[in-house]
Amino acid sequence: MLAERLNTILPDLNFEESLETTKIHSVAGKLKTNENIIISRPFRSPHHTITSSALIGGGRIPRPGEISLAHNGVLFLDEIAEFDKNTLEVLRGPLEDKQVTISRVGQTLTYPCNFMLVASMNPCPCGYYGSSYKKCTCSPNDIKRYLNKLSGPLLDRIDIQVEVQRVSYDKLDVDEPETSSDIKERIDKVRKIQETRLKSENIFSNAQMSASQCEKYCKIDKESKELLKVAYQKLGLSARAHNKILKVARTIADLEESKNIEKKHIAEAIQYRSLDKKYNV
Amino acid sequence: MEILKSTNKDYPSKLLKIKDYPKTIYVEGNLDLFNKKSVAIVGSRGCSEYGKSQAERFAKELSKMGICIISGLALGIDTVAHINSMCEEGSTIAVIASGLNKIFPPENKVVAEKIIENGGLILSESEPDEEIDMSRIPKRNRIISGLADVILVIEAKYRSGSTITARYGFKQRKEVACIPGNIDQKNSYGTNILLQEGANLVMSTQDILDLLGDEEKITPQVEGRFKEVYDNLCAIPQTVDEISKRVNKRISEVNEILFMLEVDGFAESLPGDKYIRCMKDIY
Amino acid sequence: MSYSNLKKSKIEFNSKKFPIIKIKKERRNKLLSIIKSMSLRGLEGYVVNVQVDVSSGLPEWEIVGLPDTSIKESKERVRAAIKNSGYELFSKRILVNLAPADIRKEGSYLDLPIAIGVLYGMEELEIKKDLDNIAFVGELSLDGKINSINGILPICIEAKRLGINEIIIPAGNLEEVSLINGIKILGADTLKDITKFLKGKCKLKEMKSTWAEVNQRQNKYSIDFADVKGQENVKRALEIAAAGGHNILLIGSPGARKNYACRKAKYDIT
Repeated sequence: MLAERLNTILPDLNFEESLETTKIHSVAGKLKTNENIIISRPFRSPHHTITSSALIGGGRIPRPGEISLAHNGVLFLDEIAEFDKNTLEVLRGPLEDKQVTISRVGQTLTYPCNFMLVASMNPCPCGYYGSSYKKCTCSPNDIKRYLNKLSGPLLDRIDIQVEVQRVSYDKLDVDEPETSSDIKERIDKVRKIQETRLKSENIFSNAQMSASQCEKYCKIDKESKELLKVAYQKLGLSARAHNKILKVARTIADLEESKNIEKKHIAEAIQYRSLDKKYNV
Repeated sequence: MEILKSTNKDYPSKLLKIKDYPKTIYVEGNLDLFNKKSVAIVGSRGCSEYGKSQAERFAKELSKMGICIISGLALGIDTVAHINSMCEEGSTIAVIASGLNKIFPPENKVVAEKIIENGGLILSESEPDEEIDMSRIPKRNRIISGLADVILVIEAKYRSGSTITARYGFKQRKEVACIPGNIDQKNSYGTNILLQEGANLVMSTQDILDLLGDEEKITPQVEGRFKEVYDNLCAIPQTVDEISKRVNKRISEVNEILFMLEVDGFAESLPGDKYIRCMKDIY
Repeated sequence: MSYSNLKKSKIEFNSKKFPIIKIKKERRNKLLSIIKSMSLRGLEGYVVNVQVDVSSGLPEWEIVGLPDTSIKESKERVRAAIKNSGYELFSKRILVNLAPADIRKEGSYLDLPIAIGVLYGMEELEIKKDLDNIAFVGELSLDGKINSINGILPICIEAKRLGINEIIIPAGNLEEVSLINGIKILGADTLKDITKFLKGKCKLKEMKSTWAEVNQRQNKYSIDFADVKGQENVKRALEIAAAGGHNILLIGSPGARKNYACRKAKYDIT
């Protein structure tokens, strides 16, 4: 799966991160034999029948849950619309705070959970909305209800939404794609740029910027502002998309090693708001 | 307010061509509008959402091209057409049946004020203080059709003011255009009948421009950098991947260009991350 | 039973039929043994002092200090492990206290320290090391082997922070903590090994590695982005997500993400 490969392009863990992640896995007893320390970023993909306490951690004496096991790595929720709605709602706080505090009668524990959320879902219940291979059999209402399973606050925390298309067989062997290490090299560079910029704010990536920090570091010129305004009117973007677009545009600009966010960066960033744009959630 | 006699040089020449042109008209606003190319957008008062959205679309797109939109200041389609044609490039003419000081319907008094504010024009053949006389409304319609080069009927019931306007249009040898509608819908019955009788079926702004006899086709003003991507778009939905492979550009660039095209109305994105060239430019 | 009584009993039992319990005068107040151990609270380790008091009386074994079920069961494991390691458990009254007594303890970390404490209290052990500076952690199995436990890494980190010199852990966990410097971490396979070690008769296992070494040795990923053909748009989105740490949602029809076709094609071509 594509998502699985995300790990291969994320920057390497440094010693502290590695130790922290290993600690959690050690406590949960998830270390493999002969593995002394975790050096590859964890990739956790719990099944959608997971309970909320298994997800954030719990038990009489609370154990770390999937989100903590994904600390410094990736939490992949496949078919996110199939998850129990209440289960997903518990993710809200941890996604913001990067840690989760679990209270039980015996004790109150805090586990770190700084993970990147990767989710996947079908566009509609039958799965073929917008597909060129098969006809979708869902009514507009069905689709709306299906997409509404993702609550607004949760969607608020997802910066990029992108549609994946099936690749037809004859297009597969066209040219050699980039390898993970090529991409990773670029990403390492971008991460460094972000670190230096955000050092004084005590955060290290664009995604972590708060609204006020966003205002400070994502300044855009008048032309781009105009474009955003047009995009709002024409494409019916929701207001909550605003900061996300700016943040993603900041990252795109960083990828091009451009100091300022330009119009084209904003334009590309808006392209990654599929749900807002086409499904009007 | 100005009073224009048919002998006056400001009196619209288009109006002189019709058989029973009014001897005197009372106008308020920008008189230059008479010399512009104009399209009358008319339709029923109790219009459907479909009608509203189509009226909005045509009024917006046509007025952007500098075409004057004429209508009757009635509720429904007329109001939508007036409101959406007030923009930088274009303007609108409202032809009313009552006197200029007694705007009918009274709800639209605000719209009338706005029209004048935005460089539009209001016209009537009645004395300024004359109250509305319902029997005059059909007669008023001959002025609407007379002033227009093309009469676009958005939605009309079988026997309604809009069909009357269209019939005046036929008599005055104007181009009458209709938007096709659902055959089960009362609101589309009138337009469908008009189509049967020989009105032009229009689906896009380009169709109307053709009727206006505009020699120069509006070639979409695509910026040079976007041209290559635009040329590769067609009516068949294509994914971003496919487009980027065709134009041999990086995904990031293609994404950006597609968005700019979409904002400018040259491309449309469909669910499944696919893009097509916008309908209005296909023909 | 007071000391004078004991003296009497010595006289009474001074026959060939019964084994003689010799209690030397200077050892008599050392029937209480205190063994250092560690336990876990969330991600943090903390020190638990396992205090074992062995006294004569009705044979009984009690564990106090807020133990949970897994620890209450540990006395059965410890009893069997001690027996199967070749020591004899005399019928004594054994009281184990886990200090601090106000924190609920769980897990099987304390099997080993309890066993050591009991053996020491029974005077089965002759100890040549300074017990104050050695911590013991480990779970016992019935045959005296020491089983690996969870959470050894935070325990060792905390032990190092507290300035404990040596910590004895299950040998199976050595690999996990091989990167920690500044504390002597010893791994034991069996209870017998430890008793021998405490007598100074043998050495225990150690393991050390460095960050650079580990980083090199382990093969990180078996998958690669190059395996996925096409899907450039998604790849670009994933790249941006990875670059800025953005959360991402992939929307697609079934069969889109699974890249089954991609894999298949790869095998077809090669």
